Amino acid sequence: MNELDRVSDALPQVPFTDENLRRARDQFQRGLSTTATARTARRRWALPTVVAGGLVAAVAVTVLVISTQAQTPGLNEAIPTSTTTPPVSSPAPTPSPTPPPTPQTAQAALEMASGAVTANGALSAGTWRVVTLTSTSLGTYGPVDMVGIACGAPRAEATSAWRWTTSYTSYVTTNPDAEWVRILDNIPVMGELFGDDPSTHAAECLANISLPDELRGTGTFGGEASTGPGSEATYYATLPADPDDLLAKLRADFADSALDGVPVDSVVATQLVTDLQLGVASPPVRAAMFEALGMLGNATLIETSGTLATIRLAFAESGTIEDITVDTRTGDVVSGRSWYGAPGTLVSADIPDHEYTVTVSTTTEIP
Amino acid sequence: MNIDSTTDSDIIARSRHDSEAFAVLFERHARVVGSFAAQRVGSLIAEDIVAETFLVAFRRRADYDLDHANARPWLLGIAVNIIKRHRGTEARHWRELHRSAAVATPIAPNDFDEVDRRADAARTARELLPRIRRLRAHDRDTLLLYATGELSYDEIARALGVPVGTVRSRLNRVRRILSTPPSHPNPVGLTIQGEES
Repeated sequence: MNELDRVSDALPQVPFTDENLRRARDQFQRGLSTTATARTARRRWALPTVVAGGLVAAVAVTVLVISTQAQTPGLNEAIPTSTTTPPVSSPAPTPSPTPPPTPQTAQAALEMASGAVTANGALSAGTWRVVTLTSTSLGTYGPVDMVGIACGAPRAEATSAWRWTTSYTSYVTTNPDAEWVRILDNIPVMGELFGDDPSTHAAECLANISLPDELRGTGTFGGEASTGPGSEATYYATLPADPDDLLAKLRADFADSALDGVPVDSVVATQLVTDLQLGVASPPVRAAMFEALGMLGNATLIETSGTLATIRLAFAESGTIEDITVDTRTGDVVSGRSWYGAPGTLVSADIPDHEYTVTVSTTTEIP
Repeated sequence: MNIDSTTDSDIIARSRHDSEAFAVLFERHARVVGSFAAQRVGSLIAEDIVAETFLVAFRRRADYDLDHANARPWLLGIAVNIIKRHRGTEARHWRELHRSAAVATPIAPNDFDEVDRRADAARTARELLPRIRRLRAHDRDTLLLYATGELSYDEIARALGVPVGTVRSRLNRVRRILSTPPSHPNPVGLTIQGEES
C-alpha cells in the first residue's frame, strides 16, 4: 500500500452527521435569503454590510463591542481608529502645472476619470496598491418574515435600526505570483440608533457576523490559486476593455438579479464602483469601467469640489441610488453613498443605507 | 426534470434562471463537502464551511464551466479556499486528532481482530498525522482532496486551479515526506503553517 492510500485508512473519521447537515442547510438557506434581500449583491468584494445576516461564518467570532449609547454620536465619532499597518510609502502627488477644468456634466467627469487612469493608472512592477475602505452601514431589524429573517429587514419595514462602521485595508497587485492581502478591522463601531431597542437587536444581528481578521493568497483574498476558482486576478484579467463589451458581460453575469426584483443595471453599477475602488484592473479596463458607468442609471453630476466630482446613478424602478465621488485627476473613487429602496420613516431619508470613504496609496511591502 | 439523471452542469445551467434549482446541488454534494471539511476543521466548523461553500457557488454559478458535468471538484475547490481562512483551527484540529489517535478505545474482550485492526490504525495515525499537519498548506490540500475527497488527479487540478502536472509533483513530494522515517526531525524542509502557539 502506498503512503497516500495509507492516509485514507489512518485518518480518524470525523463524522459529518445528519444534524450537521441539517444545520448547514439551514444556514445556507438563510444566506440565500439574505443574498436575495441584500440589494447590493456585491459579488466579489463581500463588504461587511452584505455579510450581515450570517452569510459568512468563521471560527473566531469577533467579539462585538456594543455600547449602549444613550447619546447617539454622529457619524464622525463613529469612524473607528484603523489598526492596520500603515502603508510603507505613499505616492507623491503628481505635479499639475495647471488646474484641470471642472467638469460640467457627469459624462465629462467620467471621461476625465477615464482619461486619468489611462494616462496614470498603471501599477508599477513590485508595488501593491493599498486601498483602505471605511464603511458605515445601516443595520435593520424588523418583523420575522417567511424564512425567519428579522435582521436585514427592508428599511421601510424595520422597527429598529443602527449605523455601524468598520474598515478594511486591501493590498492588491497586478503580479499574478505575488500575494494579495486583506486585513479587516473586525470590531464594528456603533453609531446612531433608531427605533425599538436597537442596541439589543444590533447585538443579536451583528453577532451573526464573523469574518476572518486577515485574508491572503496569490491573485485572490483567502486563496492561493491565481487561476483557479475564486481567483480575483483571473476575473480582472478577463474583463473586456471595451465599455460596450464590459457592460454586456456584467449584465449577463447579473441577469438573475432581475428574478429577485433588483434591476440588473443597479447591481452592475455597484459592481463597477466596487471594482474601481480596488483599482487593480488594467488601465484600459478601468477606463472602460468609468465609461460603462456613464451608460447606466441616468448619471447626473450633483456636486464638484476642486478635482472631485460626485455623480449620481439613480434607478427609479427599485429606488436604488448610487452616489460616487471620483477624483477626476487620478481616477480614484474616494467616497460614495448608496440607498437601496424605499427609505420608510424610521430613519431620515437623507441617511444612506451605506456610505464609505476610500484612501489609496502604494507600497513595495506587504504586512 | 428527472433530478436523478440530470448532471450537475444541467442543474447549474438551470439555476441561472431558476435559482431554486440550486438546492438540488446542495442535496447531492453537501455531505461530501461536509465530510471533507470535518476532516480538516471538525464537524461544527464544517457546517459553516458547507453553507458558505454553497453560497459562494451559488453566487458564482454564472462562472461555472458547463462542460464539466460533475461539480464536485468545483465545490471542493471552493471549500479548500474557505478552509484556508481557518488555518489556526485546522492546526488545532490536527493536534487533537493526533492526541485522540493515541488514546485507546474500549473493545470487546475477545474481539482480537478488531484489537489488531485498531492497533494498526492507531499506530499509522500516530505516525502520519503529525507529518500531515506539517505539510505545506497546498500540499495538504492536494493530499486530502486525493485521500478524502476521492477526486482524480484531473479533478484535483480543476478544484485547485493548477495544472495536473502540479498535482502529480505535489503528491510525489507528499509521498516522499510521508515515507521519511520518523526519526528524521524535519524531512525535506517542512514548514508548519497555521500553527498557533
